[in-house]
Amino acid sequence: MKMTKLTYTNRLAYDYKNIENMLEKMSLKGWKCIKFGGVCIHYEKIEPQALKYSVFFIPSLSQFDGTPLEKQETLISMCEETGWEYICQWGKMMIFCSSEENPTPIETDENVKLESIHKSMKKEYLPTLIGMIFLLVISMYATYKNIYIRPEEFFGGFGIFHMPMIGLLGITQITLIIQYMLWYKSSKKSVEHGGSCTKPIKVSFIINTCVVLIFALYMTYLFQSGDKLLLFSVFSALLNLVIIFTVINWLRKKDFDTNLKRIIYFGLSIIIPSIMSITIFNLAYFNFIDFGNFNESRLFYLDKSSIEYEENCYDNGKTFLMEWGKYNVKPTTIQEEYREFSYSLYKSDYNFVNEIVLNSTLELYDYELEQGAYWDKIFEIEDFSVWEKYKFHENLFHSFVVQTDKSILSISSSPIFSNVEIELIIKMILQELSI
Amino acid sequence: MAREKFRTLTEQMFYILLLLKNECCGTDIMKKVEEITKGRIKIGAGTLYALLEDFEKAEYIRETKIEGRKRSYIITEKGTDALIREKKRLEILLCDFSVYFSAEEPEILQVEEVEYENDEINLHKPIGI
Repeated sequence: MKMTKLTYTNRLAYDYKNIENMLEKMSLKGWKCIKFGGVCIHYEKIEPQALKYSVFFIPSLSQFDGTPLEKQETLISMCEETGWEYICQWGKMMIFCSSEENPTPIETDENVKLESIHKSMKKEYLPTLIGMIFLLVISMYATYKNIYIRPEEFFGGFGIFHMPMIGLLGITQITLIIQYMLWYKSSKKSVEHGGSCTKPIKVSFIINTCVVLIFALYMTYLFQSGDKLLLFSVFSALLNLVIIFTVINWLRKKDFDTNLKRIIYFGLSIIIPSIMSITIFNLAYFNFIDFGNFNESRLFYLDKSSIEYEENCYDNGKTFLMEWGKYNVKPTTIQEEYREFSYSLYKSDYNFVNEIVLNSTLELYDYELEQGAYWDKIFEIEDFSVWEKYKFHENLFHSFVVQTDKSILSISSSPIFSNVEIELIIKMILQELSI
Repeated sequence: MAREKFRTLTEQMFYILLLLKNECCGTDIMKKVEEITKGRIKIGAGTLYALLEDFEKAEYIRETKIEGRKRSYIITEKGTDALIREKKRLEILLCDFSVYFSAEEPEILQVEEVEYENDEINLHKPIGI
């Protein structure tokens, strides 16, 4: 017969009544809580009986305190005097139980209780949620900037999935903060009128919907792209979580000073995940990264006999294509200059993507070129709009951006190419690539 | 924060400070409060623990000794002031009550304002009671 049992719970720490009720129901079924770990509860088999539970908050407790400190021993002894048995502690919570029918409650002043809970939440729960939102905002901003720097990575890669996932995660964090604030407000009002702390409003629908959507987005991207790098990133994140929990558990068993424990924890939780991430990323990058399928047939070549060329083509999604080619036309005479020509082509089925890429390309050139440069719409080729960026400088070079219905072509070339030549080249590229 | 919190004392706070006139440990306080109030007021171990911590932070009490898991405390001068202030506040309430409800011909009371430096609180101190 099974003597212990581990269950999952998603109850909020400050919803202490809910936790107490759940533990009391379990004791009626013959299970006594022996360890509480936030999301998992460890029970041992007992004779079914009506046990009373009490969840008590101590703001000065730390998540690293696995066993009661000297001062908490005093509390435990006082609780024992009134018929309460100490069970365990987790975070800033201590859990007691009593088999007496009507024991003196551990807390007889609801105002003091609410204050202890609020202080505890202000120290751990709320900073975690706010910190998470801060990280999400940074991540959102970095992803947004990436659209302009590496549009092919954003639209052809994880970026387009990343943005809504960050948004959904943000919604969950904000919802939890609002839920707590509303709970605190209503509890305070209730306590001021002689009542007890209230129940938090239910937000499980919002949270569950967000979690399901995040999971669905992640799986969709994974199956669609087969992105092994993302798989490794998630594996790395999960491994880091396991390491962090292992460090916390190890520290909980050690008899170090709390501040020293904090230093060790923060040191290890930065160093180990960093090493892990770098190692895994490098392994994945060099062995598994897949920018898309190389598609040579889609490459455009100038006269192969007279030029050296590098080229690449990433066709890494059904909706996005990025091609890139660079050509150095060798001088045939000493007087002739070395001619350089390179192009990037972005093609997407979505107009809004092409608009973003167009703006980002124009902005990118603005950024790279010094002041004095300007864009000028120099000519139109059939249905295509063509912009030229001309820079007055010693090493003059031309940049052109061509916008078509479904693609953006950007070209940089030595100024030795005349406008007529450029126009011809653009036409050749567009025809060759059947744009 | 503590000053704001202890502006007026709850019954439990009042009895804890009152009993700490003599050195006491937590368990003794719980038992004695129940005894003095004939079971009307019970202080839970957790509430007592939290209040003792707050009183200690506010320097209303100080720790005197630790014997095993037991910690003993005694009231400080600041704590005594708070207790006296509360007593006066309660007296004023009683007096005001008697003016309106108890006496058939209520005595007109002269009231003077007394400012308590420690707690920046103005109390109306009745004279001639």
